[in-house]
Amino acid sequence: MPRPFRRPLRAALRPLKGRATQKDTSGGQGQKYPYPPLEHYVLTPDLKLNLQQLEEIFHRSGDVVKRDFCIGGRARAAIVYIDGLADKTLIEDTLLRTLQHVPSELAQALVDRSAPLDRLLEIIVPMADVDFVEKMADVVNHVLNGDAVLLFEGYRQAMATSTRSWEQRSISEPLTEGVVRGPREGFVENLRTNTALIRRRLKTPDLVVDNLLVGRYSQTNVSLVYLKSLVGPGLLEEIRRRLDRIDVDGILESAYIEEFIEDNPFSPFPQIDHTERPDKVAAALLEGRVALLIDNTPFVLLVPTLFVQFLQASEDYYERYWLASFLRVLRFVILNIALLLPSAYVAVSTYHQEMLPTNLVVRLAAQREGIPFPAVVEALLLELVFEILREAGVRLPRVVGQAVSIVGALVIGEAAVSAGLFSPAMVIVVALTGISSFALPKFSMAITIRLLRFIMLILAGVLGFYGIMLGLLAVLVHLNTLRSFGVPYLAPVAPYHRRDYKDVFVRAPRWDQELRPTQLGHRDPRRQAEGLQPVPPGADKGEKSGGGR
Amino acid sequence: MSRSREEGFIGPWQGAILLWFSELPTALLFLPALIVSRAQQDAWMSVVLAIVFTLPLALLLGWLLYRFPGRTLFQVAETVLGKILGKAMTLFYVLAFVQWNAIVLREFGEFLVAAVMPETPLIVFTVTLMVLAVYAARNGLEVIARSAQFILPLMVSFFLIVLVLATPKMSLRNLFPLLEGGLGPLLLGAFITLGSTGEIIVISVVGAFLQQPEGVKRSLILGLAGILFFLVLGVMGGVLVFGACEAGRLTFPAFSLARVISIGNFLERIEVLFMAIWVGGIFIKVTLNLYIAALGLATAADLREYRPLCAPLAALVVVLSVWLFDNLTGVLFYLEQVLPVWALLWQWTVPAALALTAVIRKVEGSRT
Repeated sequence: MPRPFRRPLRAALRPLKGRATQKDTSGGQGQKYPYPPLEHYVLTPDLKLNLQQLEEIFHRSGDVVKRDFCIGGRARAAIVYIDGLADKTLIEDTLLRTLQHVPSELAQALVDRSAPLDRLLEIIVPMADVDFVEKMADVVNHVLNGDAVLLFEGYRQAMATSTRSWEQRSISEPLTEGVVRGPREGFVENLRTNTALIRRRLKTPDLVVDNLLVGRYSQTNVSLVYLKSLVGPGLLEEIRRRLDRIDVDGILESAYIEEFIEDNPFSPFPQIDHTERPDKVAAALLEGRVALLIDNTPFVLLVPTLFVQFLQASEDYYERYWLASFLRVLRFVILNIALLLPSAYVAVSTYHQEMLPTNLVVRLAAQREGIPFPAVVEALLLELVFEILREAGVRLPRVVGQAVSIVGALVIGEAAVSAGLFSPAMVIVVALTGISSFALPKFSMAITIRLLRFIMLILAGVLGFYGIMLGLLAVLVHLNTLRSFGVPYLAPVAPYHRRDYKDVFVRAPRWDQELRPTQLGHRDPRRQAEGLQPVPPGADKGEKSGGGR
Repeated sequence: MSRSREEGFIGPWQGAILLWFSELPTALLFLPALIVSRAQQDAWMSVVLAIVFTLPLALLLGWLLYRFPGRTLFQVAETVLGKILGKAMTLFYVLAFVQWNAIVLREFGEFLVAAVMPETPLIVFTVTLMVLAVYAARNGLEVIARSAQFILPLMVSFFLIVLVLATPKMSLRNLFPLLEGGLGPLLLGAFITLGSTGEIIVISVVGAFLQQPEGVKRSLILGLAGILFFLVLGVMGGVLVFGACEAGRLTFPAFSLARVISIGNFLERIEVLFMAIWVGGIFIKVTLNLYIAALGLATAADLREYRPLCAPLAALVVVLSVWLFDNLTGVLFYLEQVLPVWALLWQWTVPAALALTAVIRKVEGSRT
């Protein structure tokens, strides 16, 4: 008899649910661009015809520059680029000037086609990064990416020269992940700058940058960055498979990608971490993770992601480990306050007053005297007010922001209490909860906690502590069902991995963290030499190896 | 990736933890009073005796898993007894687990009503917990085991903290004199305990998903050791604080421990927290039983998926839990008078008969 319901030992890399139809039969990433496809257009030896085709393809768009010129006064050629994406000075001062002043015998050779085009151009073109293309689609693609493309009379080939250069934000301190100590560089919107920021931290040929294109109209560059000798087998294939499935019109932010490649699309919990910090990406790569860099956004995705990562900040690794460990524990407390404090207050004040000392109960009861709502309604209303204030503060222009805090603090805080709408204790509880949710290091997790807080509140209002426990159990079971690219979300707590505990609730000293995370670093579990614990001169050398274990 | 790691499904520690959860959450609540009322201050010896008596059962179940590695009890039954008899036995077990689950659920509801929220109807607790259990059971054993792993530290640390904080109120004199009433009450207490320790039969299903035969062995040893440790602590704690006489009269001595302690005159009566954490434990127990029942029914019916069966079985459990007993006294009477005999039948005799048949018919199973 078959044993089918032995639940198929859920393969580590569980395939995404969804259609399994094969699309994009042309095969390979290269054929996805440009969109719509340009099958009818071909490069001809006739320069004029080529330019006419290009005009038709670009619909005489205003920012596409086409210029005819003569190489060395004899050979006819043309240059095509997009104004604003290509470096105009480079094109004018270097490229055009050199080409126009090519010695005439070379130009004649070009006209006579006495040598292959690439050999001739090797001599006359003063650029490093060039690409010979034979398809119209490639020409268009190069132009759209900011390259200048040279077309020649009498040749079916064209040459693309890299002239990409456009206005961009300069590297600045990441706004969402500030540190007291640590590098202050953050990613920018330009993919190349971002890969360079990572490359500067990991100077090894092992660092691989794999490029993909996603999005029909946006043709967004996506780079898979990983350390070849550390990344787990199967992980890359799985990521590529999930990325290949994406067939949308445009990718404008890494969140678009995130929503398409998550393991559980219905979960309220973020399953993919994102960061603006190159040092954090480098650290993740060294643990065997993969970074997904998406063009036009400074936010880089890191996979696989565990729940505990959302309670860690990069500064944990730059401050002394005692402080870092304290902060780790504190964040777990903060997480619980942000999630549970209002509901616990409601549960205690409604159902379980006996838990508190008598005088405190009396005082709380006196405060609640005359308040028109039951505690749970009061809490819900006040939470709602808080959310409105927060939203207003985020959306309003900076200048008006102050008005919000005045209204919030004075009118709502003071007046509502003295009018007897809310009790002061409840205001304190909600304020503390709000502060706690700001103190969580990751905004994406804080949002989830905020939403769950309301559910907990309602459960506590209906069933007291039992309701809270029901809610927590549901969340726990849900978290246990989650996986991020095959890795259980709650690891290393459940399933339990003792070795990995050195970097969860505490941050062990660096010299003690000898191994990579169990779930990720199979390829090369050891990350540093043994016995690196500093030993002062004169101390007994024999004790050195004992400390690490 | 972690493919190889997950292939084995659950680890030996997870197996042991599931054994603890299949036994302790309700046993720690209801058993101490029952044992103490029989064996008085020697209740802890009853527990030790009961665990010793359980060893043959553990050996038997371990042997079954050794002979039929990677097979659940239900599959073993079908291999050994043939299609019809095997299915009949599986169905019998499904019913037994459903009934046992209903009792656990009723115990849980009675506990919440009696101890914490007397004005809420019992059905509210049982239905809400069962809904959650269906959700968890549908997600498979792996998720149940991991959830248990997460809850366990909370339960254990809270239980130990309560015991430590209650030490000022303890008196060693309560444990003496030893063997005041002779061996009779001792054996009676052990007999009552056997009704609960037989719950380790879940290993015969859970064990099929363990990594290797050594995993089963370690699970059983760790599981029994843990059960012994915590049951003895639970029984002793009650006796030490309240004295054998009083502890025998309380309904939930372990729970009452949480009642008497006070932390710095500020947090008092933390039994509500005790209740909240215990809900987690009972939740795992109920979910595990539901999962096993659904799995058994799916085996008997040759279904590919056990999941659609969870919800209907859960409904059955809820109905049974209401229907079986009139009140808390009925539950206690059942635990005391009926359960040990019934447990000896379905948890001990039937597997033994199965093993005997396997030997006589010379049936062996290989890992499929």
